[in-house]
Amino acid sequence: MEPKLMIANQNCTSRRKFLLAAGACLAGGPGAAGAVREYRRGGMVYRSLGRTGMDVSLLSFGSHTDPKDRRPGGPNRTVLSPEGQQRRDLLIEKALDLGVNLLDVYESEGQWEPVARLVKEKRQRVLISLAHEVSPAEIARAVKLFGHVDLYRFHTAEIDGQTMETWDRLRKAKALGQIRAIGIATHTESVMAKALHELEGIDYLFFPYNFIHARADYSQFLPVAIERNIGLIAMKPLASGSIMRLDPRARPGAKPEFEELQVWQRRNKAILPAAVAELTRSLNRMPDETLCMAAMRFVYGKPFLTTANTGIFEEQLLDDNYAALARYQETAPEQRAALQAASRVARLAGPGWLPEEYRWLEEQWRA
Amino acid sequence: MAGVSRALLAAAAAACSLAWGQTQQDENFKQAGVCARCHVISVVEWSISKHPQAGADCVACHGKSEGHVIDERNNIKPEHIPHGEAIAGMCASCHGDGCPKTRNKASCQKCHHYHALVNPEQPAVAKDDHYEELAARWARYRERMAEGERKVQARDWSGARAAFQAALKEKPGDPAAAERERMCGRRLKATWPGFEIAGSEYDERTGLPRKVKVAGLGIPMVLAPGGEFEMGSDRLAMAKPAHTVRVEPFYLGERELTQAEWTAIMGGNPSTHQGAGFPEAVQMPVDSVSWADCQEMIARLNARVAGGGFRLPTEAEWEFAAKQGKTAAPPLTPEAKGPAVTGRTPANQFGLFDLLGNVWEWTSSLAKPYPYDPRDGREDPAGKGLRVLRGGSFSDAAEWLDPSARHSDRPERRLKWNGVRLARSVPD
Repeated sequence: MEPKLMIANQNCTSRRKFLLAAGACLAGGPGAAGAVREYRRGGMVYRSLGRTGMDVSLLSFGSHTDPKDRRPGGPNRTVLSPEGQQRRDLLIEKALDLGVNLLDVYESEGQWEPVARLVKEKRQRVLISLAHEVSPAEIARAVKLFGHVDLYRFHTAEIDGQTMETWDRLRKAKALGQIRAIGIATHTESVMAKALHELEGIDYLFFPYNFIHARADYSQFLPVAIERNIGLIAMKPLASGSIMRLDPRARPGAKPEFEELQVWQRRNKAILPAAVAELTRSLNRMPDETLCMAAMRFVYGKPFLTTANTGIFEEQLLDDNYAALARYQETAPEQRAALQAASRVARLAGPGWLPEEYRWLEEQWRA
Repeated sequence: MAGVSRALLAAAAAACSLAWGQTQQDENFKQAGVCARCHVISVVEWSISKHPQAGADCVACHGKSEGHVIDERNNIKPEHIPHGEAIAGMCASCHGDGCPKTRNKASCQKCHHYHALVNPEQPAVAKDDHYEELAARWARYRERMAEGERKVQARDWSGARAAFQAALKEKPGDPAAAERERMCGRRLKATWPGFEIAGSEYDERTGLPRKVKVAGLGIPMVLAPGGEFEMGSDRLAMAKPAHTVRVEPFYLGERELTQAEWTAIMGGNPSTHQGAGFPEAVQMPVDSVSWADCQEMIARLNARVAGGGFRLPTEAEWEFAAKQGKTAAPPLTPEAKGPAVTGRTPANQFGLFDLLGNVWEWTSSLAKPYPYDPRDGREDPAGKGLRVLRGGSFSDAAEWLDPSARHSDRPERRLKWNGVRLARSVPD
């Protein structure tokens, strides 16, 4: 039986058919044309990014940093402290050693120059993904720092005249050989569908995807994307880290700490404790697994995605994300039960379980 | 003794014959001209055939091929190099009755090499009456052509035209005579439908006025006299490979179409860069126009101006025009400032302004891979796909200000850096 939490929209039948077809493609079966090619090297899995010719590690390194490592300064008002930068550099080094080959680098956090320095010697085996102002001058600066840019995108909330102008600039940069693949990041499903039709030469899409926020128009959007061999990259695979906070087990520093959840828990004692208890029971049935690992496995298991791009700011998180790559295609019943239970907890907690700046996830992407 | 004398006489005759052959071969090499510098074997083959005596030289079969002659890298090929059965077609232009010996009309290359080397061990014995007649006709042709050129020098256009027409009678379909005859006809023309002639300069080769204005609208256009050029560039990934393309003479807007000119045709101005902050907007190029908008504008213009025939340039025509001499581009400006007033940077060799920079210019061509071939459907106005834009704009990286650089977009897309330049085929 299909677990409820995997129901991404109400059109269950077409979605099931779609997933089966996508799985067949991944296995190289009938209809393999346009499938995401996959292979394993060591502990890391690699998948092709659409028609770009690039193979990307299934786990990729997002740029977001731990707030406690930030200090005032830089174009976005906060930059990493020297200690934070050092910690982050070590994390990137470790991720690269584990086989991660895509780094998403945010200049708004002042990260272009430090990352360019860090990867200079191993640039040939690292893919650099940027999301920044799209202007000839900024692209030329990125090219100067990184040699070339592998992926460049911009965020957009709608496809309008402004988007078209920005897209035109990206296409020109790609034509000049400055960028290898161009795409957009969006938080809106309708924009994803429109982008596929309107943005000429789009190579990939960044969109939110995790076991709670897995709503996407399977019957319209995904088949078109797969048919046209557009690379699909999942962002927010851990809902900006909030999913980890749903894990009630006492891993040091990982207990549920979100204040509003606790307030809600106090107010709704009759309901929430039961849901949390169910989640705890589910997780206790798999002692070697964290909720984070189960959540990442859910995303890794989707054959249409090329990579899960997640913010990594502590070593334990990197280890969990990496460990989830083992046996990611086998979803045990207790894992599914844990994810269902966590989804229920999040639903019962209301939008307050997410930080305010990420509540759009709940509004637009709830499965 | 008598035997010895005979042997000596035979040796002397052979030596004379050899000397005569050598002298004749030298003459033939001279006749082959610059071609003999590289194509030695071909010229030797040709020179021991009857072709030199008949006046059938390199140009007669391969065309003038000026581009090939000056291109040391041999990227530009001669105008005509027939292969396979096409060789027999070329031979038939003189040997209409077939082979003088066998009367065979096909597969000449079975017995003859490319340059008609007849096997010296088995010299042809059949007398070629047709050849004698042909040689006489070609001699008359050369006389008429020379007469025509003398009359051209004397500006006697009627006389020159008659001489070239007479040359065409001796050698029907000869492209050189036809071109000169057409040139004289154009020089005799007093008016051109849809054009007002501006100035008194005419192109020597085509006989067309160099500068004209669109009747009733005053939009200046300049003659691009056509010819062969190297299209594309091996330096730019989007413009590979460089290859030879020939374009016919055409007229191209001296400047990008201005906002004032667009308004005069369409009755409205879609440009982003107008209003407050743009005091000279009317002289700035129109922007924010789609390819479809341009087609609408052209339809209205053709309905309004006698003769019609206005259109967008093909991308080959655009590049041909942009590669004539060094083209200065207006400086790149901050995006908010928009494009510059047209015609303020130096013009290129044809007298065209702002081909590079300012605004992108739509062309009629669909974006298809090179080599450029107008017969492959890329010039179909109803064809589906992206249309090519050329020239770069005020907001682009400097790499785009290159005559070979190609960009493209959907025909319905309106962007604030996309404009247009008019073109028109020669309205003969």
